[in-house]
Amino acid sequence: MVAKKGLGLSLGRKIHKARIESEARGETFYQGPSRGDLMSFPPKELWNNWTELDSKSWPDRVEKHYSLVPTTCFNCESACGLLAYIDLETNTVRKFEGNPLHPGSRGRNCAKGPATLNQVQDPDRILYPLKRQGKRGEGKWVRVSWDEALDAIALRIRNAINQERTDEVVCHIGRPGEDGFTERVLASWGVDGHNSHTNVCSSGGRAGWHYWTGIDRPSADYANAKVIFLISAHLETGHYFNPHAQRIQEAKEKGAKLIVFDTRLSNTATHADYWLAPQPGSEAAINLSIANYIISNKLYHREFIRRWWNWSEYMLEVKGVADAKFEDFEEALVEQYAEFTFEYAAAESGVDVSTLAEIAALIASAKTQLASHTWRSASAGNLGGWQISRTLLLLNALLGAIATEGGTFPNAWNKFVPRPIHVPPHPAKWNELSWPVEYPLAMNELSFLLPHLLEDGRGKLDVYFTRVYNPVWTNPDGMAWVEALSDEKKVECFVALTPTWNESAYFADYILPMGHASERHDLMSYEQYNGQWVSFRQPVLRAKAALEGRVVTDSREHNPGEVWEENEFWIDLSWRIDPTGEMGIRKFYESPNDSSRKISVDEYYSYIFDNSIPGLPETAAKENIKPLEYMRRYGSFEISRNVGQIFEDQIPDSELTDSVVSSMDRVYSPSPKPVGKNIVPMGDPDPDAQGRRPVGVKVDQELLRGFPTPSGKLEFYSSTLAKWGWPEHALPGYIKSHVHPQSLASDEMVLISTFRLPVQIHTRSANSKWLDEIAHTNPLWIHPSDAKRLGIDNTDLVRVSTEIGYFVVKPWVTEGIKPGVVACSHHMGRWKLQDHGQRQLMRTVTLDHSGRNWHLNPKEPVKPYESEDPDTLRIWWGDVGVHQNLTFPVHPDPISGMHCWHQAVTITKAEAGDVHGEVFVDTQKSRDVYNKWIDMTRDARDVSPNGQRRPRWLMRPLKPVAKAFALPSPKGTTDALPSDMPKV
Amino acid sequence: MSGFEYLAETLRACAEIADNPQLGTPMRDLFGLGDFPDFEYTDVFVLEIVPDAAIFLSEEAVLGGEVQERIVGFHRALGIEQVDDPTGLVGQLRNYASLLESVQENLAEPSRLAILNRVRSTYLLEHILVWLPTYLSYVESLFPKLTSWSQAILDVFATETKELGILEWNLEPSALANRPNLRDVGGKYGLEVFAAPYITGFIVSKTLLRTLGQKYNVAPRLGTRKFMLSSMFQQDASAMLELLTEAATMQMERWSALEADFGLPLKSWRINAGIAIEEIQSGRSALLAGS
Repeated sequence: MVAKKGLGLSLGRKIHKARIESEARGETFYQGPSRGDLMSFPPKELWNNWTELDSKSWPDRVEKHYSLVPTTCFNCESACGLLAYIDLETNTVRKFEGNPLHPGSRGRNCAKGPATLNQVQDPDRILYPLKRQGKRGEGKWVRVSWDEALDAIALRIRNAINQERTDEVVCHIGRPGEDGFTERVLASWGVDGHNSHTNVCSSGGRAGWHYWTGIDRPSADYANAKVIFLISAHLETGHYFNPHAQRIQEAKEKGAKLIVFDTRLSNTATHADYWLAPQPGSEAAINLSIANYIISNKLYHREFIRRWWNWSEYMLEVKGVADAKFEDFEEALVEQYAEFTFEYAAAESGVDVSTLAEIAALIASAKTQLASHTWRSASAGNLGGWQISRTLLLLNALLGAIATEGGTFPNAWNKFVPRPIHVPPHPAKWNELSWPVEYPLAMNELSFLLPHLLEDGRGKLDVYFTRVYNPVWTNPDGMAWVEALSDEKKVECFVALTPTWNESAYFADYILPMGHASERHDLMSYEQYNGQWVSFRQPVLRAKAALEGRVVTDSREHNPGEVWEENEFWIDLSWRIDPTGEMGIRKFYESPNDSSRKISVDEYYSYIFDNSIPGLPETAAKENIKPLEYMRRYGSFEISRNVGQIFEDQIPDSELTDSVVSSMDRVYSPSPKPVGKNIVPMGDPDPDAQGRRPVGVKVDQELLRGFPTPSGKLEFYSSTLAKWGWPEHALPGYIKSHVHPQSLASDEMVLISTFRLPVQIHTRSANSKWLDEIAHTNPLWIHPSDAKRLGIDNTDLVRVSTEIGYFVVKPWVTEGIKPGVVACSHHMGRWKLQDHGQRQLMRTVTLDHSGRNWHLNPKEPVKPYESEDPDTLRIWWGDVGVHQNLTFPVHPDPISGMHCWHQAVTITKAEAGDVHGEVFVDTQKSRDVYNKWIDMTRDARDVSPNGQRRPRWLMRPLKPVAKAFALPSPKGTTDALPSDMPKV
Repeated sequence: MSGFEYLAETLRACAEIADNPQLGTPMRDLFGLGDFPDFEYTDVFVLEIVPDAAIFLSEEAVLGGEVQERIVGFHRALGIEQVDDPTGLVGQLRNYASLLESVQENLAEPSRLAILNRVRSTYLLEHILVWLPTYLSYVESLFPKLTSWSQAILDVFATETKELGILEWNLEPSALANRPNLRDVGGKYGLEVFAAPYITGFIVSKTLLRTLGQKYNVAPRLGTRKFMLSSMFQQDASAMLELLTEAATMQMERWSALEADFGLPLKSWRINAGIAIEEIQSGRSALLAGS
């Protein structure tokens, strides 16, 4: 029998008391191995002095003592929490593990997080500012001081600003750091020079979202979904795969069904309940067939649609029916999508009718608990790819699964961008090199067209920054980039801000070393569940010193060599551009405590943490510490959970003074916009003719917040698309891809080139030896039936020929790819022109050219080498794949501006003399393709309904003042801007 | 009765002890653990027999499998949040603590309480009593330092068994209803059968083999339990049969003592242990032949 009767209850009382007392002191009573989430995390109150046995001393039991300092991963875009284990004896980082307090990643990391250690310790990394000596690309460098580099660059920028050449300063952003930081720097200079990578990344996916909701990303509440629908390989890669994948897995454990569209048998596909491998580009046709099923069987959420779709605008503008009844719209809806039968979708996609019917029924059964997601994937591959995300959201909108538990949210409601101390005004001058007039509806800058726009003679660049970006390698048409960056008349000064060597940096004038995840400050927030959080990236050794009470004023003091962080770099550079304050720039960088000196990052973040993050000061006060110390100590803070349907919020009375309701039920008010703490970007609908701002929408006699769209509702019908030249695409629809079978020659196949490998991230992770060992090559996936037809097996080499050239690659014959489609992964084929530089994943090549014919020839494979790291002698791989992007011409979607990555290619056996990794490109042909795609656009000068070059309400990084939106005139030039902005 | 939150607190604290290799002083003091270094924790909860229902309730004594599916299905059917380790000791203690907390929160809602009580009863009979009392009693016998810990859990579940009237049901849990014994399986599994408490009714762990091995002069070799059994039988089969008889006898007495509090599940364990003793003693030659 049980010997101690009553023990459970009496002990429970004591434990309960002890727990209450312990938690009142801010301690973690049930520390567990990871506070319940993972199996091995130390409780936060022990982070100051954490003891572990030294694995290298085994079997001796030698204790190591660590200080655990949080930061945020800087590899992919997920911004997962990391904990740096700083050896208290040597004051060096010994390892990185997950931060269990991070609300998004919850202590979990993929391989790239811990591999930050490799990047920090990389023997080939760039440690000092370098200046080019000799010709561009020649490979001769001299170490210079930061002062010398900064003064020279500042002088150029100062002159450009003073001479009103602000459009000659451009910063090309790769891995995003802190939301809006670089935009605000450029805005403070008055420069419309932000050039994101987004149009080679996610513009297609964003556009479909933006036209519907006024917000440009999805945030699915996976954990509570009944059905999860991914058009992507989202369990293994992408925005924001690690935090999302763990929640998808939770939902699956609760019985949710997972549907995955992926032409490859990806890791994600292997976890799906339904894996569909549709013909690339046919995804929207499938989505519409599911929509048709839902509509024709009346399975949609009638009340949600009636309240929140802009159906009356559609009936008025398209059907010409004023005061239409909802029933009329329902009839029109049936008619609109009737052609998209399962049979039609099956013919387009190659997926059989019964499977389509089965998933349609499953999706309909989810009702308001459908979590859907696409980001890059098909939306980034195809002409009209933006309609794939638009039709995907159509399914959510039909089911009312918008911002519901288990549904899909607009991202801005699950994200928090705290207001900083200064928000400089918008720049006054439009940058034609980033936002050409042919693309009035582009979601982001046409950054990947820069070499062609320069060659068109649309301008030149005085200073061109790349910031953790590698355009030569990452963008399509890399040889056009080599040509542009080699031409000092087009790009006068090229400054590469990079932690590591890359293909573009070789053509730079200055290479300025930037820190990795544990060597820089940023404040991050991403939509990863139905809640909002911020996470602090910080130089961990500096943070440790600060937590120990030491005063640190410059991150370089604790970083290796002279590696810096961007925040301090931009502050310093801005100060040097305007040292006296006469240009109006310096005021944004002065210390709030002493205007004679620069603002420190401590002051910058103290302002944000003290003033702009609800709840943080109170939480920190409970521990008797300042908010900055709280963030330095714990690294992240959750602001809210269960955000809900913000569009249903009542408009506060304070915003309704003298308000009016338009004929389409839009509510306008002359009240000034409240200054919010969260400045997350979203659409900004135009004011009415009297200048009153839209504050909401009238729904069933209630004045509600609505969506940031022109109508205030979900825009099933996009008046923006209709009025700006694309009325035929104003509704969610199907655009046949440029690689649609009808467009392919008989010997052509579709090449999918965009998929990532779970352990690498673009070119940035190449200096991670652990990751390189796992993944270092990119064979061409080809189905056995195609291999047989072409007479290819795994021992061959093949030539893959595109519109502008070819590359030579090893085939991988596998049933994991759809017949008629080949695939070659991202990340690989890294190269360098000189022997120095990154040596673990970059082979040495020669780059020969004759006229516009470029030939990249592998010279030396990757091989073991001696360095301060003994592991470099253990490199066993030599094959690092092929740089396929060089052979892709630009394919800018004429509406979204997204580069359409999929390629029509021919596959042949390699010819005599062909070498694996070899690439040939004719950049004259790439010019021809560029011109062909430009011809597909509808120029704002031809279609603008109001004299502007772009709808003002659309999101745009670094949006200029209204005046700068005026169309250029005459057609074909970029000057002679009218002095007055036409009235809206 | 009320006070469910305190019973839950006890289970959570006990889960913490089984989950955290580096306990803080307050927790060690509450349970009278004294110095309980991380290597001792590792001996008990990592290197010793794995505290997981699947090990105790499957013929092959393996993790996962049907036992896990059964409990995961049970969780899913009831909408209980899945824990990482649904069949493990820690997961079950935390799950049951959550149930008790729900009961406490719903004391004023009779209809909800009735549902919770049904869930609680089923969970207790079908998934807890089927293995946990035997495991706890066994740990207590080998690691006296953990007596307060094991007694606290046993007392919570004995209180629950009484409160819910489980003994009056006189119902054998489905997991034990068609349980084979050593006589049923014969030589099917060879000597490895002694690593399967589900069949033999008694627990053979590494510590037990080390401890009794010294007494019977059979040297344990480090490895899996099956490997240890095999190597020790190779050294001295006869001594090993005596060793196993002693272990089974000792444990059968413990199961018998727990029957008053936990009823049929413990009876099932006692019966199987008894059969095992008979089989070992009467069927020595067959078992040795099987080896």
